[in-house]
Amino acid sequence: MTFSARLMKWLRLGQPTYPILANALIRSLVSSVAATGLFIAAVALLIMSSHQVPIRSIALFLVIIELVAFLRSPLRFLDRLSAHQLGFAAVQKWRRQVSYWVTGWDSNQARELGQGEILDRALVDTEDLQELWLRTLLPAVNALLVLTLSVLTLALVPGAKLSGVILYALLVLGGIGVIGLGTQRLASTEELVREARGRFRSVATEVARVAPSLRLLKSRKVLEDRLDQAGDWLNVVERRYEQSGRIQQWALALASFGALLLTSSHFASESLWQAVALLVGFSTFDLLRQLQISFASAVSLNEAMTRLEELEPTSLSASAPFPYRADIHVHDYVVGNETHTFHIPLGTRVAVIGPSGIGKSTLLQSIAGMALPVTGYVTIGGVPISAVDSDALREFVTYVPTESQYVTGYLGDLVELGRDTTRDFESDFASLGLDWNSRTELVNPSRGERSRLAVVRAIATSPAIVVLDEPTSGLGDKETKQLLDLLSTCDSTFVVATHDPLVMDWCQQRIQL
Amino acid sequence: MNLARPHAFPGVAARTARFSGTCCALLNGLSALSLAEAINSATQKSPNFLAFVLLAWASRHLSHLLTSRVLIRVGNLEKNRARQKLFTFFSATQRPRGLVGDLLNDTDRIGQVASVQAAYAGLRLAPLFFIVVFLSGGWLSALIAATLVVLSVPFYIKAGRLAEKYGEEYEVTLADFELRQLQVLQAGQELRGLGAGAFAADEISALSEREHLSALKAVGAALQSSLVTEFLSGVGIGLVAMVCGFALLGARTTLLRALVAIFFTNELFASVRRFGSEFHQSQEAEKAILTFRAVQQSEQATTPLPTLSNVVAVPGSRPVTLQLTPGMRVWIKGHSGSGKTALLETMLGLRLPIEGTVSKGSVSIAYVSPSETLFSGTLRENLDPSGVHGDLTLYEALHRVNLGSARFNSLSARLGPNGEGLSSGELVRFLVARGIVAQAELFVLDDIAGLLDEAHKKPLIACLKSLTKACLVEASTTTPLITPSLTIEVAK
Repeated sequence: MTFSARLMKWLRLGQPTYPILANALIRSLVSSVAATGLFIAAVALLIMSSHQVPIRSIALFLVIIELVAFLRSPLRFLDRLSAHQLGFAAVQKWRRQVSYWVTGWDSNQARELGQGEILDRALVDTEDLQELWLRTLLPAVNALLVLTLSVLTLALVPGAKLSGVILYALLVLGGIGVIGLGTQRLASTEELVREARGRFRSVATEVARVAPSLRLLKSRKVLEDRLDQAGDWLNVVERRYEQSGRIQQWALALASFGALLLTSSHFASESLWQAVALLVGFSTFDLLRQLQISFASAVSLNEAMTRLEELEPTSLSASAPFPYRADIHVHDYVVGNETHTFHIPLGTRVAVIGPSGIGKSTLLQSIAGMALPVTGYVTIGGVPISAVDSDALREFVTYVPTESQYVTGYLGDLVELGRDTTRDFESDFASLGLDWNSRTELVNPSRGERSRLAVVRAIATSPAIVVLDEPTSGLGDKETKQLLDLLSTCDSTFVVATHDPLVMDWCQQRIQL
Repeated sequence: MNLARPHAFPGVAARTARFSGTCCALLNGLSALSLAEAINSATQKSPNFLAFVLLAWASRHLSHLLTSRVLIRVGNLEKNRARQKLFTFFSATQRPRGLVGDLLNDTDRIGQVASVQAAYAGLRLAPLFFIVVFLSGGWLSALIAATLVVLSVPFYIKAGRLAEKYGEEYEVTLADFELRQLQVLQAGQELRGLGAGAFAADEISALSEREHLSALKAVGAALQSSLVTEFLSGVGIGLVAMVCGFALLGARTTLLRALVAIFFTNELFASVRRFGSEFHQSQEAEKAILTFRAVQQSEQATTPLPTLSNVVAVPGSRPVTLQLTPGMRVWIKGHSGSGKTALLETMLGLRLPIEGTVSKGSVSIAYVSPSETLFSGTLRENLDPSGVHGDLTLYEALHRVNLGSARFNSLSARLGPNGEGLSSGELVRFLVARGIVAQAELFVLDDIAGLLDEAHKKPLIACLKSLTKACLVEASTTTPLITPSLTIEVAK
């Protein structure tokens, strides 16, 4: 994906509501106009004073200047605040999106990416991305609007020729175009920097591990050289990155120089308006620079955007409806050297048993449609599970992994999870000996409490198929029996991986791996 | 220590940064002066008009180039210097605890010091701008500018304190939020299994909104501190424009002087503002620099072989006094968990003693422990990390520790990532061979006897016996590989 496509994607994903966007844009425009206007007005006042204009018009002008001078700071305050609001609104959407992606991973992706460090990094990255609105889009749009205003101001200067205004506009457009092109080049060099930084980090991490003992041995040249080489290469590409920004600097220099020459000599014969045109021309430099800085700031976020994209689920588009009342078949499933085919009839309870590490959890995940099996395939009522629409699948098949982690908060939220529940979960908990209601807040539940919570919420929507991985871990015999009695009240198909003899006895069928 | 002060940040790079900062401020001043001249020339239809316009543009552009090129270059130089110190930092035995990632971020932060220094240098020119305002706008303009700058200081400090307070509150809220989001992300599979992906995403969205309300409060407070200078600068320009306007009406001044007064009042506040916006970075950069300096100070030369005097390595253990000499064989005896490894690490300076003093050795030391690791690369690189010995020496060392299987036939064979690929028994023998290659004068063996089967134990015992000039210290719960000349029992 190209840099600009990636940029547009993330801006689209973090698009705030239009009122917030409009508010931020208007405030930033007003604040910029006030800041530049104050300066131009102050100069105009002095020129008028030196021309001995009637005191009345000077006094009026003075009042306006003082008013703008006092308001400039609050205007700026509001501008910055709404810019942050805009950034925060985008971060909120990005966080929502990333959470949605992570909860859409299949089990293989979760194993690969679900490390604390990657998720931790994702948090920081979404936070950093707020700069996209704060330091990229908002200042860029602001600069473009003020540049447009500059063109209009020049057009309004008494005696201004249309050709001059058009030439100024073309110069500015040319400058913007080259700055834009330079940004693409900057983005491609940024990829090199990213690679070099990654290499340097991995070498440094390795060196950090072995350096103390090599220092004791007084024998460290190889690693020192390796770290130096990675550091030198990083310096080289950082320098190249810095140099690839020069195109933009030249564009900036030439466009602003042309604009200044034009505005200083071709606009007005009257000195007051000549000064105004000159100051407008002079401000072109700052506006183009603002544009350049905002584009460069987007490039520096390329790394975070790329990293976050890696979290996107490898989506499989499937649309078949869920075959509601049907048997499950597992075909050609290979365990060790043996190929198995299992049939799980509708409404039966099946125990999956076998030694640790044999692949019970993997089989369960395949049956629940959480991951494509490495070997063979799973069908429900003859329909491959991978062809079933994922929302429908999750509505009718619930899966609970071994250790439940989403266990703190108010019980009502923890059980309902925004779904339409069909069972009275408070009485379900009561039957398990837990005096809990929907307002009970779980802070640090025990392992046994977590297991029971996980099972109650798995059956809360009365799904067609319930897949449970070691549901009774952390429970004594009494609690296990209570749990099994509760499960017996459901007419779902149960597939349970277990080591617990009580659970095995409760099941009507066994799959031995 | 305040980093902004020049003495806290010595070196050519820093001097260059400060010089660039001064030049930038002077060029901005020149640009302002030229612009004033240009406008004045325009009103007088003077032929010099275009020349002043060009001078104003050129000085502004040059100032921009200095900021964007020289400061970045200087920042990169500083970053590079910090990177070159990383190895010393990593190998410093008593290094401050911290993740490698944090340290690498510190090297990047050091790069920011250049712009802080430049902003500080610009601020130092503020008195010059003030004098220009006085000379061009008269005493009243100067008084207005001075009063407002002086006024801005307490406001700035007050707003800064408020921002700090809200900032701390926000940090707590953020930490709470991040903890929850991490929990949700880690429970991703479970939530998916229950069809609650959208619910979890909505929960994050709602929590995020709450966190942002707290953030906005902190941002508002932080903005106030920068707005103080902005407000006073606006007021300053307005008031100076008024004073100069009246002076012009009364023909007590010229247009040029009035324009210069306005432009330099603007520059005066701009330099304060620039410093204010860079200043917040200085705190983090300062921490980074201190971290790197601490490392250099911790290294000091000592006696050839380590000496322990009444050293207590773990709480409640018996004090140990030990003077190692060449050829000595010391058995550190004790049951599992009694603190043998801690004593060895203390002796090597890898941890600080609880009591007593340790004089670290200056000779080369081979630390042989199953918890040690090799690094990715060839067997040759790992066996001779100094890269000075010939293959014959290396094969001979491998032979002495009885590492003769097929995998050790070629020194160019590569180990896996992080030097993985050897069994524990092979690893410890390899580390002994590495010590032999490096001609280590002290071998410290940490509980390795249990890792070797009888077939490999005998050759290693013989090999260790042959190291007559070296001192050997072995920690072991069972019979050691060495024949001890001194036994120290570590017990609580």
